[in-house]
Amino acid sequence: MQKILIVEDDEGISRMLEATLQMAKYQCGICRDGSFAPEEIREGRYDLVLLDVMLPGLDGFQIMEQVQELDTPVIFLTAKENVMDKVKGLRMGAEDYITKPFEPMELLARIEVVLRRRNKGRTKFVYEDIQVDLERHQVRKGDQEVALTPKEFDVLVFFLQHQDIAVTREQLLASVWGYEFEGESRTVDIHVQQLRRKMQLQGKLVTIPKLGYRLESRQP
Amino acid sequence: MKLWQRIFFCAFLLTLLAVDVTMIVTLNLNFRTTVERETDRAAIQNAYYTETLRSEVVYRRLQEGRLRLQADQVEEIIGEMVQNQQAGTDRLVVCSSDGEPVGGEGRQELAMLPEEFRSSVQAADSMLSMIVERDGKSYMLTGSPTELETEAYTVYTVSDVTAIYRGLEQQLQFSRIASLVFAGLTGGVLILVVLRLLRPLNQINAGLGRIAGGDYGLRLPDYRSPEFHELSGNINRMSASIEKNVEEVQGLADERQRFVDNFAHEMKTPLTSVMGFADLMRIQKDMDEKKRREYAGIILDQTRRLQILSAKMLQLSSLHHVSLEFRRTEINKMFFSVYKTVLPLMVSRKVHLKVEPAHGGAVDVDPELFELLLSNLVDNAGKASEAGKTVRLRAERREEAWVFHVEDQGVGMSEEELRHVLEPFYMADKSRSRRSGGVGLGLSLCARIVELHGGELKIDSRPGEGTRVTVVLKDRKGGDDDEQEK
Repeated sequence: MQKILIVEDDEGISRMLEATLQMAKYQCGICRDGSFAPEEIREGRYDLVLLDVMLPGLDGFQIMEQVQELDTPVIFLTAKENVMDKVKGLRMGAEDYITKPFEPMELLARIEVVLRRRNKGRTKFVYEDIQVDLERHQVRKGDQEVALTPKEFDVLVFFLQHQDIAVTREQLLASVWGYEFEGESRTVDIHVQQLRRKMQLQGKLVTIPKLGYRLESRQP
Repeated sequence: MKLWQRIFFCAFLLTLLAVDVTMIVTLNLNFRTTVERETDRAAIQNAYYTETLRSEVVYRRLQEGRLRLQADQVEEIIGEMVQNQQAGTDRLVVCSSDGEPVGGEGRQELAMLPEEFRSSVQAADSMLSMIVERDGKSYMLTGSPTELETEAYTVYTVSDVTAIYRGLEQQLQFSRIASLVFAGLTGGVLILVVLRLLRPLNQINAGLGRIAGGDYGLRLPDYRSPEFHELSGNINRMSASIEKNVEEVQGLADERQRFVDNFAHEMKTPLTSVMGFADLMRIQKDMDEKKRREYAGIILDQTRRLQILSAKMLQLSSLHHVSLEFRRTEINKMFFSVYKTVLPLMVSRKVHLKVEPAHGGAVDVDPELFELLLSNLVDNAGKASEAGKTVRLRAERREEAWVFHVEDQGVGMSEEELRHVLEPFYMADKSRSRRSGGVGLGLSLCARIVELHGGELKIDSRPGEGTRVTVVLKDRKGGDDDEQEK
């Protein structure tokens, strides 16, 4: 289970971040004052830190300086759009940057990219009787290996990473096919259909009208 | 052409002209005088010869005791004289009326005499001179007709005046060389002097260039010559003025940028939670009742916060375009109104409010705005106080002014916080402010209202000991019902 630290002083935002991370099944900690952040990062052994730039006590950049040697991946959160701040943050070693306000899914996508890049991402996923091994690129249903096309595999993994979360076609397109893809969202629909058939996910990988799709777990 | 070149050429040419003209005129004058002198000398010489001849003739006549000499005797005399003279520098030729030299002497000399000269002399019947050149030499010719024993003769003297001309030539030569040398020297010295005098001009020009390029801190050095001294002094003053203005403008721009940045931040922060929770509610399956209520509650709170923010922003910006209506208002009336407005808030916080009446006091204010000011200050004081503490509102009369005090026994502020407390969006204790619905604009609004009334706002505070906010309102000159547009 991955551990993510939230360093944010605003009550509403820190609660929202916590809710988002919990939804995606991350473990999280919250730090509301910059001066306690470096210690928390050192002690807590986090896989990733979500760091707000404007904080009481130490600001985001100062905190980064202090924990640079730990090499914990950091994603900056900020309200400022100006380029200089972005460059400064990235130069200091931040993995990515996200400007407020943002949609939770966008944040989750960036977190996943960073974790994967740093090999801290999850490599094994389980859903009922489906097992996926990302490293070996294998899918098993029960004890049978299933043959999926590369894109079908990626789409399945995406759903497994976002169980019980409604996912839009655009998000799937962006994440699996990349932003340069010029195809229609029909591609997504076709792949979802294939996946349902091959993995027998009818009734589990459901269509949410006007929204997208959701892989639902049995939990109440 | 550059200035120094122009100055140099003008000076140089003028000097040269003056010197050369003087030299030429002098030389000319000199030459003319010499020639005149020589002419006179030759004339005198000629006259002398003529007279000598005449006296010789008379002497012979007397000697021989005759009444008249014979022509050949006269010619003998002439011949003698001519022969004697040939040794000297002047040549003597005497011609008889037929134009032939007497005694056959001096045919060479006679040949030198131009025909017109001889006829002129004879025609004029007086002495005439002229200068001719033969074989590279110059000769002064003098001729005068005379009568000896009733026979007409012409006495010609020929003087060699080459030396004079040679002298003139030498002088000309010398003066040409001298003038060249002089020109060279003058030119050299002149260039140095001009360049040296104009050097400050180049320095000033260079300095101006740097100032124009943005180096507003540059100052020119002091110069001795009064024109440059004044010029550089003025430029320095200008530069200082520009520097100050640029700093002011930059300061204003920075202030504005800070305001905008802060406003953006204050807007985006609640929006982030609103957007986040709304989206979470949309995409998550199975949200329990508790979670749903919590998320929706936060969305509502943050939306209220945005609402307050926009309302206060509107108030703040409208104060920039407002026209105040000043009316003579009783202080106690305002105090009462403020008390009514603020009391519910105080009660809910369990903070005591003590308003001390100002007996008979009245001020010229815009009542709505001034009441808003006082309410804001009292409300702030209440927010900073714990339950059971007291907030005091009072007014006192000081020389030519009414002074209002809002005092609390609350958390107080450090020096650092006091420095920033009037800035828009600044909140000394963010969480406490937000909890009571604050957005950090209250004191900016108050400061603005005080400014519009021409008053003074002071804040005294110490951490843990409470705060006192003072508003000084000087008596307004002029009548009631002032209208002032700001």
